[in-house]
Amino acid sequence: MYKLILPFRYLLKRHISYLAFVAVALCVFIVVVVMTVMRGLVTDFKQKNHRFVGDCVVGTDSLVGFAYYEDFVKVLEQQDFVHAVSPVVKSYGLINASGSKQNFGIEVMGINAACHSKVTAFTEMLYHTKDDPTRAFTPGNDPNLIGCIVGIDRWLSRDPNGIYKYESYRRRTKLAISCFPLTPKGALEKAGAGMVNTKTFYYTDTLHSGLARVDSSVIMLPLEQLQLLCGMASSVKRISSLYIKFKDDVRLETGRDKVAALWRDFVKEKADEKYAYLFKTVTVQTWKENRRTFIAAMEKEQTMLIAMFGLVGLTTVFVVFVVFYMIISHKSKDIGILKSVGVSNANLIQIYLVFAFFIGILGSAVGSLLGWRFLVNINSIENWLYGKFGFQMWDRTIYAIGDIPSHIEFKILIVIIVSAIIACLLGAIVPTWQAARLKPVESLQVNQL
Amino acid sequence: MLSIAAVALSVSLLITVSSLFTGFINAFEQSAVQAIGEIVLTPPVKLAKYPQFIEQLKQIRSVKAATATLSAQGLLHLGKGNVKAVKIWGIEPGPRAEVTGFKQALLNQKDSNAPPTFQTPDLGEKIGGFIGIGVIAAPDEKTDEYDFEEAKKMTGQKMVLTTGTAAETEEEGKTQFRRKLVRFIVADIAFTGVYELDKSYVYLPIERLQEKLYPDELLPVADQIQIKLADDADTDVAMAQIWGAWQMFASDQLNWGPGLISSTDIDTAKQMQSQYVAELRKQMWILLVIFGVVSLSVILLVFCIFYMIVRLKQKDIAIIRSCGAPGTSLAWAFLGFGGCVGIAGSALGTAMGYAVTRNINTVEEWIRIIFGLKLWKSSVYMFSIIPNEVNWWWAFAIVLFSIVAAALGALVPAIVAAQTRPVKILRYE
Amino acid sequence: MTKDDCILKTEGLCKSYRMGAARVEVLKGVDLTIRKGEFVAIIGASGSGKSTLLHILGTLDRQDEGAVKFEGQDLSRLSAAKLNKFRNKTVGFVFQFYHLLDELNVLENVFLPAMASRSILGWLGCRTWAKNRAKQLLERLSLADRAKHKPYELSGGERQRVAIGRALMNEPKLLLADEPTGNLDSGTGNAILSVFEELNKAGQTIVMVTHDERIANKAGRIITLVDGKIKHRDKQTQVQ
Repeated sequence: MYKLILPFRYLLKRHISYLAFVAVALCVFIVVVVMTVMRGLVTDFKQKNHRFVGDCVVGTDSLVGFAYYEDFVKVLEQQDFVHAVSPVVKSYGLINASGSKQNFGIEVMGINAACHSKVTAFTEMLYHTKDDPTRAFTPGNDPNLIGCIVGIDRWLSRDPNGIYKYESYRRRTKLAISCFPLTPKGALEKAGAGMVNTKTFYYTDTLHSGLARVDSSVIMLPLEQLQLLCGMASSVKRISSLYIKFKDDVRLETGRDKVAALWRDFVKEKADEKYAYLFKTVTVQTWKENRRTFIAAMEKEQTMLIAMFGLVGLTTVFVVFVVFYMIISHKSKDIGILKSVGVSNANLIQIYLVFAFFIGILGSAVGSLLGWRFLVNINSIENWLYGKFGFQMWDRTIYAIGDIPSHIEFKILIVIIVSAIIACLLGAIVPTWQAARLKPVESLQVNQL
Repeated sequence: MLSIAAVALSVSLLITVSSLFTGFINAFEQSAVQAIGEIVLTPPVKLAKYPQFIEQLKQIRSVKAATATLSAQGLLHLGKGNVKAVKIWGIEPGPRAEVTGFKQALLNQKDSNAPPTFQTPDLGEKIGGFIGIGVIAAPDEKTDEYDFEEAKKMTGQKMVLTTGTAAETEEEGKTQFRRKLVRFIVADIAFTGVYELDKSYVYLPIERLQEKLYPDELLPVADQIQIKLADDADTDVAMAQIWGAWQMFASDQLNWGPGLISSTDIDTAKQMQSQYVAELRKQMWILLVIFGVVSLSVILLVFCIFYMIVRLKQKDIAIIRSCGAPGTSLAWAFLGFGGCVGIAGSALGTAMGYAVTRNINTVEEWIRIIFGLKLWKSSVYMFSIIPNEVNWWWAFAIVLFSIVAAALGALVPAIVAAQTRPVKILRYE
Repeated sequence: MTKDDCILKTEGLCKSYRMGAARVEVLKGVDLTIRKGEFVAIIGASGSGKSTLLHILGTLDRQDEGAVKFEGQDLSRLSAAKLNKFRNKTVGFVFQFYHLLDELNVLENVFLPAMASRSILGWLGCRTWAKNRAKQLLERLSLADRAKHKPYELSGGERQRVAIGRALMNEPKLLLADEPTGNLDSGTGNAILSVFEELNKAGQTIVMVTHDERIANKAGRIITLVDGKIKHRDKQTQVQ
């Protein structure tokens, strides 16, 4: 019982232990807040990428695309691990808004709205037609007009808080989109005849993916229309990619490997077809592999932050070490007394480790609580700082983020608390061990006054 | 010893954070400089007679070298059915290597003594070109590294580039496109380490590109002039001088009106990155504040250690006082001790900070293994390694601050020591 | 003296300490026998080794050479766990400077040895007994009304009585006292000695170290330590 009573009394009476407690609370607070925000941003960013392309991408970087995709779609749709497939065309083009003499370079994506909604979070990215994505390319009530979806940063502006100024009505705007059609061999189809295919589309909706590159430069068109524009709608149609969504219980890498095996078989089967050579540049990737260039930067920053927090952890261990060193050297008489009444070395060490544990758990509890309160109010704090001082942690005109993430993940919190407790135990163990090894008479002869 | 260690830990933490961040910011700014030179002049329309202008620039003492670029977009045919959209830069490889670190990016020519060239031995009249490594190859899925030897095998291959010009017509929304085919031989492969450049750039001789794009232009034309300054040049002075030279050249040689001249952008490469760099600096300051607060707890620790020393040595202090030593000299002794602890701790901390910073890439490797995070290579990320140079200005400021903080930490204990009454301590209980 | 009467015996005890570069021999071959129920005072000048001898007898320190036998058992052969048990159950130690734990109140300081030898569950089982025993001891030592006070709220004499109470908590066979009155005025010191006399009358074996002959004369037998060796005498006889 003394192993609980004494550490508790030390905690209350020894004022120096408050320093260790404050250090632990402070470090836990900092780690909880920064890890939550960084992890939130990284997870948010990764999620946005995941939601944009589905689980797996079978595709090529070549602007010519690949053929016979309908047959492969049939193969995929028969698989029990596949939920849905969406064929996609990606290319580059020029856009000209009516009334303007200037053309701007854009990226164009051709999709089937219904299929794409099943594979990606396409529906959630829309504004006017999110309740019925099948109407995504139907501007107004006129079914004869062909619509297009414009990346939100091309269409709307943001206020300093990063909030888009949505319009309640849909402007009926004509957009002329031109693409350079390519033959299956890669030559310009209209080399001698103006080089481009141009068609007029009408603005239907905005696309808000949360990805800066996409929202500022992508225009979505109906799949067949873009195939026509890009010269991919000949007798054998072509596409750039197939976006695939697996069923919920399918592991990403397992699903990708299965798709890759199916693709290899499909390529073998089609080896004698006229456009089989287009399969050479096709790869099968998980969404992470497909989007890795964008994810890389954030993961790198996350790694650097973990390294820095390792140093913070080391500081915590050191502070606790010094505090315990001071407490124990001041308390060596107590150790001698306890040894003289028959307390073993192991039990002595336990007393101080329990003491360290109390400091760790209390410090972590306070630090976590303060961290939680801070995070709950972090966006209000940022808004206040912005209103008062013009200071924003992340400039919303540069970073495509909305609110700062503030949801603490329980698992992460447990890891931080456990790490803090371990840090305290580590900090206490050496001075405790050293003191326990002394003979009783050595401990008692120190500081007899 | 403990107090020295406490100061050392604080100092090393702050030095590491400040060095890594400033290193990152510098590397980011440097990568821009490496790609496009220190100063970039971008006129609103193409400028003709650029060789003359470059000669005039070289007359300015602050300017070390200058080069012109001409840009276009196109489609690169990499094989049957394999077409990629690329950006094309018409460049002068020799002058370019003087302005930027371009030569180091060329896999075949980086080790040669001669300036880089598009001319390969058996080129003849054909056009030679450089191609970004990411255009022709993909990094390994697992290691994210390019196979450089495999990429080098593309040297000597024939490539076909479809490019052209676009001209606005009177008819609304109608553009007149003129297609141009450029056949070239791969003279070298470029690996700049900047993913965006490596994935989508093709470099051709500026004159040959102009021939294809603007056959009617008799004078040499360029989109941009990229300038390197002399080592001892003052940037602001140089900018002013370049402006002056440009205004003179544009009005005298090109007959441009004031409106056109003033629409020219002359920026440093750093200014072009300034918005993003400002964000990075903000994040660095926030992190330094956070770690500064953590360091504060360490300074408090120093205070406690000194206080404990005073308490432990009470008897000694009382004895010294009873021998007639004045309180102030004792106080100074403690303050001096605090200062010495600050100096010793800062020295040790600087050494530790240096060691961690210089080996940050190894630390990153350990973190990757322990946490299962991916270690990104330059093929998919901006830098191949985390910049790991210590920022000595920051280190100096941190050391100075630590010495003062350590001395301050000893202040209260010093006052306590000075006010010790010998009789109170030495009286037997 | 029969073998059964002998509770503690030392043979050729030697102990030295390092003081900087020099080695100081404190005990140079001490042979000593203590009988059950004896009240022995070990007297000697400062630096004669008397406290060192007491610490070795109580296993707070370890001899360099020689043996200490308690009821025939060689203490140097005991394992660490058995030594802890010996200190807890068999020996009670009273120090010159009391050495009470400031974080515990008087009652808790007294029943500390009972807590020290038991796990939490074991303690919960014997808690009532331990508290009652501690209260009895405090009553006997006239400290019943101070049970909830902290050591720093007590006078020197009161603290020493608490220390005696702690030493007696587990009914040790041997009570060792190192200058128990060294830090007290004569009146208070005499009161403490009275406690020892009472305990000894009740059968407690006591070995006490002191530098004061007047205090030593209160004991039944006096052992003199001179330059690390024993010169025996009892109360009536002179130095041999």
